[in-house]
Amino acid sequence: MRHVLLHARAHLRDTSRMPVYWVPALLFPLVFFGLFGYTNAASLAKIGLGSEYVITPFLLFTTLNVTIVSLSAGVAADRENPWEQRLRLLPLPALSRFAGRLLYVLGFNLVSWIPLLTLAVFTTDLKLPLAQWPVWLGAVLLGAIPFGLLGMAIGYRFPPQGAMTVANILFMLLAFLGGLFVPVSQLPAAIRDVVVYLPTHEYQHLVLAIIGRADRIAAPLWTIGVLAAWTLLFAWLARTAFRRDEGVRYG
Amino acid sequence: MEVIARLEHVTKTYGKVVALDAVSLTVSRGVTAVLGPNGAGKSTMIELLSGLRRPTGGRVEVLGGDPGDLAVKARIGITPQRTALPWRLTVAETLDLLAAHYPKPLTRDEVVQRLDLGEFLHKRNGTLSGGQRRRVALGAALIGNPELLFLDEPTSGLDADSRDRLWAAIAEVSAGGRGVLLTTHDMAEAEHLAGRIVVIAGGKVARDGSLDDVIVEVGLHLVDIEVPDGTSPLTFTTIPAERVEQLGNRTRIYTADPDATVRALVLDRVPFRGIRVERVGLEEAIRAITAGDGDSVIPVSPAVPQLAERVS
Repeated sequence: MRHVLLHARAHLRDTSRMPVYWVPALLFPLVFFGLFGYTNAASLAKIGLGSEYVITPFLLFTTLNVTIVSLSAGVAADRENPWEQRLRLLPLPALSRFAGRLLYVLGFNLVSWIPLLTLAVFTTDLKLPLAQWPVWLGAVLLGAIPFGLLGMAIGYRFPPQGAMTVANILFMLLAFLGGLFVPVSQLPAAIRDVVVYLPTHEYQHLVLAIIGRADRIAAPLWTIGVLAAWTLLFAWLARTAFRRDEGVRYG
Repeated sequence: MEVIARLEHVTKTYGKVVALDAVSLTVSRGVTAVLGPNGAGKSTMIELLSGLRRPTGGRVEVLGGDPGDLAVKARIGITPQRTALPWRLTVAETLDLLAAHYPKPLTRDEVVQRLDLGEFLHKRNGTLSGGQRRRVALGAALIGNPELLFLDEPTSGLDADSRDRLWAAIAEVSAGGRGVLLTTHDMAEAEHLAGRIVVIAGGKVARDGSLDDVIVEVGLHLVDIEVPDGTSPLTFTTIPAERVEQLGNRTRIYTADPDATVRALVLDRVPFRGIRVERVGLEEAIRAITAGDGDSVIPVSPAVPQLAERVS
């Protein structure tokens, strides 16, 4: 665990010294929420609903952007870096380096939420009791793990430019179909039937349900089961992509 | 002498390219220099011994185990050919991060003192000069207190001062009873540091021995003659020579039989006013051994050629 933390800290240090990376990551959700979310939050407030219904999709959107797109681009770029080769020669299982990277992404997510949540707290009708905040944000963080594995799978499978493209397509597709852009009820019927199998949809459901704001009644086991199944699939894809890359690069 | 690493009939291919061809080699304590032209297979050898790559055939053993084992990795250090440092971390952060992975690492201060890293210890790696980066890279290899060190062209592109500093550090490591396997194109480096020379050509071990052994085995001599200015063109008949270079009014004849060459020059009445005969150095010996292999091809005819050159 010590090595996992060390590698996570090294990644965070590295990123903190690269404003070109973290400034857009922090500003993007802020601008996006200002343009599209703020008015929705105001509308909900008029009918007595808390802004958490609107803020949650934006929070997830921010998290998925960092976890899928940024992570995959970072992994793909690092594969070309001699430092990555040097790390491979350390007496450390590859899994520890992966875990360190995943932990770093989760940590960076915490930072990326600060502007959005600050804006939301001061300008919207966010009615979350103080005790629910850690549960709410904890669910967002834990629910991001399968998407981190997807980001790694893409990063190890594609070259940097390709990884960015594939990650963006999948990210947008999953976000849209998962109901992060428009409510699922407004999607075509054929899509509505399958969204309950999608990780993004169940991710959003988990995060809302855990603070008692779910828009449907679903057995917790279903949500957790779907997310667990996707976690396994993405973990397998990440492992396969890594092994393939090892074979090509170091075989 | 204790063997700390060995290759047994190791073959490594990349597609249709054979980088190493059934190579067998042992590595002992002290400094071993692996020489050969670009593409000869030197870096591949280091990558196999460090566990970065797996052999296509044969067996690699390092410190009694498989080089891919974590327990073996904990006992080796390496500087890859391409300087591998995290550009946005400082030198101190880099050394600390690496040290944390080894069971008995050197302290950061020990490495800093040995390689004189103090003045840029808290600078980011990306802001360092090439020479400073090379020193940090060697520090990164030493921080784990390795028993066996692999250095892939460690001083390539360095100025004389930086190079000397690295040589001193490598010599110190070796004097401490560790094994060092280094690849280099710098013959002075090999002569200065290595007790043993391994020459790789065409993916095979072409020579293996002490510096003197390699030079003597090649048996090549230089016959260096100087002719007076304005000498009319001369026609050589049959001169025993492996290779001839003309530099102004000097002609350098590389030959396996210097007596026969000098005799032929006299019989041909070449009007040289000065002549020097000596055994070639390591560089010429390596050229002769690796002729026809890799990127730096220097043709050497094993037969006695007809020399048509004229001294002008």
